[in-house]
Amino acid sequence: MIETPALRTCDLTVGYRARHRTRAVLEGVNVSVSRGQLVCLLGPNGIGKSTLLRTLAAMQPALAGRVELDARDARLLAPADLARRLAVVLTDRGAIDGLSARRVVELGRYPHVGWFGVLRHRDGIAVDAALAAVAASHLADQEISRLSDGERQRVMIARALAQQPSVLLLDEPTAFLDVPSRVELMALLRDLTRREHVLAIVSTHDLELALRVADVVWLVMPGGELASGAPEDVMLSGVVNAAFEGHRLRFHVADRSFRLLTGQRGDAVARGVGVRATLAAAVLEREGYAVGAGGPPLVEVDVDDTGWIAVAGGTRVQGIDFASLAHFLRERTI
Amino acid sequence: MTRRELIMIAGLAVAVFAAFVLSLAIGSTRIPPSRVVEALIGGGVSDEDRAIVMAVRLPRAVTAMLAGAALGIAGLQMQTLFRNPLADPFALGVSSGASLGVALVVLGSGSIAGLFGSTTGLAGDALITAAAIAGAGSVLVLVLAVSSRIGDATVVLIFGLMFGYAVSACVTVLVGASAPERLQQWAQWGLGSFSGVTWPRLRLFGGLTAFGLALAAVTPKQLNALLLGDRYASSMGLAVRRVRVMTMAGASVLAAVVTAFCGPISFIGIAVPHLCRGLTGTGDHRVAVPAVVLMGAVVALAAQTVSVLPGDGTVLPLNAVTALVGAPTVVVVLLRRRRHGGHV
Amino acid sequence: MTRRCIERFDPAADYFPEKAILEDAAMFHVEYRRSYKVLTVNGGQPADPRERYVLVQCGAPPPPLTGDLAGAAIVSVPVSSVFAFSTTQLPLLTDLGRIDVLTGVAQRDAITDPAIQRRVAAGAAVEFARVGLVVDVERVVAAHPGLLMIGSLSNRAVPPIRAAGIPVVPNAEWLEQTALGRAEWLKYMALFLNEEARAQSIYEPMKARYLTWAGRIRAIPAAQRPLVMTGRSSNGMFTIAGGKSYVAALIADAGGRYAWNDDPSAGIVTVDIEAQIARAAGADIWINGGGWKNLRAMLEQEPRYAAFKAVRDGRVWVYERRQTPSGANDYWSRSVTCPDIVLADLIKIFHPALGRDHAFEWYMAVPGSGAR
Repeated sequence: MIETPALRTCDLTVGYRARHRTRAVLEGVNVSVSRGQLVCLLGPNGIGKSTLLRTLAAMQPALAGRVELDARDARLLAPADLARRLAVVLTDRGAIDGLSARRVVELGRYPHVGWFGVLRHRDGIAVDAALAAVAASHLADQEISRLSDGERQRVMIARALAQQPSVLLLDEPTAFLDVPSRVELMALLRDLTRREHVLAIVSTHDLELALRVADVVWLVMPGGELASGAPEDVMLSGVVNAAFEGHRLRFHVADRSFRLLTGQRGDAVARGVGVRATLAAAVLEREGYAVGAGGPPLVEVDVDDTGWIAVAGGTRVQGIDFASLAHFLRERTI
Repeated sequence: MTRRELIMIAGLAVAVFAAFVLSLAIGSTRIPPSRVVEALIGGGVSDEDRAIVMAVRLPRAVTAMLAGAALGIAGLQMQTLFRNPLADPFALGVSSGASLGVALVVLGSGSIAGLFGSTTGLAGDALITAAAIAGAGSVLVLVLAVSSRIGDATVVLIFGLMFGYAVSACVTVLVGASAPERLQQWAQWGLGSFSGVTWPRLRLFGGLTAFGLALAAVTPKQLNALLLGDRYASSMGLAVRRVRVMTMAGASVLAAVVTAFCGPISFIGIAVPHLCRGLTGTGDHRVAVPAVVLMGAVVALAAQTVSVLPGDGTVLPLNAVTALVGAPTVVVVLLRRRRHGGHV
Repeated sequence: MTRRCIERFDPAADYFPEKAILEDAAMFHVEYRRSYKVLTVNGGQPADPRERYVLVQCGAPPPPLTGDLAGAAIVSVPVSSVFAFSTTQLPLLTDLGRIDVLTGVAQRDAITDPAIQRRVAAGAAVEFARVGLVVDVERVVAAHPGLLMIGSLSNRAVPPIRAAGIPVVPNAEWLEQTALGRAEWLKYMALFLNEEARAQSIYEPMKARYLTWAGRIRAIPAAQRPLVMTGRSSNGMFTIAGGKSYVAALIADAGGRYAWNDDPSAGIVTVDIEAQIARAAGADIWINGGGWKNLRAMLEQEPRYAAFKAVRDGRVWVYERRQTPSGANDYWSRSVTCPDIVLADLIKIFHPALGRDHAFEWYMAVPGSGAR
């Protein structure tokens, strides 16, 4: 049985409608994703990621086309219905500092409770489950203002989960986090999609991390198109290069990462065993040499666990750590 | 509700009862507590004592409780609506509108008051109340009209402040052009007083404030959602603009009614929500709404009692008492929270 | 001689043969010194300092302002043009027959005397504080009167007017603790016009009438004197006459007992309605309130008035008999110099038998129902 896609767009065009002009940011978007997947929305700054996200969340009307949630047109859904299918995690801070983490998560039950907001047994269960899903149960009774940024983000995700949606939309959730927390959060999101069987759409600047964890990548191109597919297909197609490369930057598909452009000073080789050779090559590249490009090397470096030996222009120098190697290379005039 | 919150609310309820009793026992004349009790239960006391307890002190205490609760709730609603701890019930210019209405009948040419049956040109209390409500209502209608067109809450707040300033300026012009006898009546209105609401008028006052309080009591869910911010709230299905207009109207009606019947009373609206947050430890409206109602009543009753302490007819202006007693209290509460690692 | 300026000054001559002797007024004091009078007067508000003026006969050289005259202001008498701020100052001129010197009034709408109204209409007297009783300084300085008489010297308009060379003097009659003392301010005004003789000829018979009326009362024992309350309430606060005010003195002279006799204030006091109920719920008579169409309207406006016996008995008296529909009331002007008539009215209220041969001038009872 083919599962109905949790979210599908049909010829979606998003943008702004000002008084006399209409400006489209993305046109003709046709994507379809099902539950249990993590989608990362990528693209350079200002290209329209937030606009797309807002349109998908029904916070902003589309210019053309439609969004379908569980095969229902989002525009035809009552606000409470929409809230039961789609939940958001934004960068807004709000004025919730006086609430405990549990109370913040309880707010997510809004579309499920009656007029007076009385929580029933099943609401309590949903709240507890949401907290457990983000591993924040031990934080439940603490004031949210006392949590670290990473913990606070987890609580906000739990709040969204408490809505029991099929789709989670997250706008730059890793924006204020330090590197270990970012990795943890993305890992958490990937686990959540599997365990809770939700679709998570995350917009992020963390390109390299996203390419590692995402099931589907949506890359917004400078021309107003959206490239979509598995990360590996997207990388191979070259669109990442097209979207992000500049005259100092290149995307290295094999490494799945960016490298600074090198080679102005000439070619070089690095020899050695294991990781030290790779690191030596990295130092050479940083200092402007192209390693392994094939041409006659101006510098040759051999490295082992005692240190390094460099031969260049007839001179032979050796040292112990990579800082001294870098220093040597910098002092050279060729 | 956590145990701490329940205990705090129960404690506040006891405090209200105690403050109520105290305000019946203490007044500008000395009546021993036994006689007060006798007067209340209809026993044999002198006519003066009965008149003082039943016609002066009792309605005054009830008025104080209602006014304190109303101002506290209005302040809470405004602080939540605008996500601003400095918002008070009069931030939308409601109090200025009421002042303008009162100024027009008290300070305007005697012919306005004369139209309504006064022969010395001094306006009666009922006329003053009606004028205050009319003035506050006009400003409120203007602000709500603006608010329904503008999405940004901060912009609406600024509009309200500007209306307030403009209207206050008109009042200043009226004050500048007025004769001294009229100014005396105007100044007295400005001092604030719970003593002006007699039993017949209490019916109207009580009805209106009860309505406003009920509105707040049934919307803690919406108010909590608003704490997250407009975008989150609407993503959960809240009709943000409609709720904002309703809450603004509710808060302003409460503030306008209290100002109309008791004059402008400062401080209670802005301070009581903070006091409650410090006491109960949470901003959750399911706890805050009952706590603010009770705490507002206690503060108002306490202010009323302090204002008559000098005795033998001398009464301290209510506004002075609320600020003098309340401001240091709020400072203490905030400092204690800071020290324990909390926040405002 | 008193009206014309001196042509040739004789330092030994006494230019003021008719001297004012003060019997009842306590707020001002005068001393005669041949060619000038030294006038000491309270500033007009209880907190104002005392002021000293040297009234020099026109044509005489002013004395050196040293010693006890240091800091005094010089006024040349007799003045020929007077700006009067309060309507209570106007009857002083009317009674002296000298409205010919009146060249400025605060507001024409507040004037009830037809002769003065005609004067204003003819342009012989100008309005100088029409809007909100704020003094139009330019207008005063442009007219340059010989004297500006104002209620209190703390009025902000006083320093610039004085700086322009116009003498400004206060009029604190309302702080006098007796009605006769208040009326004696007729002599105060007379000092500036050299009309002391005229003032005395008016004051003396009036005082005699006052004392005759008061004499009828003296023999009445305390038990037969009614308890009296004053004032009106707004928002739960009662504005009443102080225990040492001239109203309290009038009540005593008219054979009543004032409920707030022990209050130390000489002016108006504001008290909590509770205190008024405690003291005056059993008062027989209520005077000097006002603004009520009838008793029923009174109770509608403030139901707590029902606690007062005087209201239940319908013995509420106000001085609105002569009030015009537009709100002007000549009680305010004429009652100052005619305290004997006020006393007679009050005696007729407190002891009707003793006042049988007097007809009410200003006081009337608030009717039970219907309009007045």
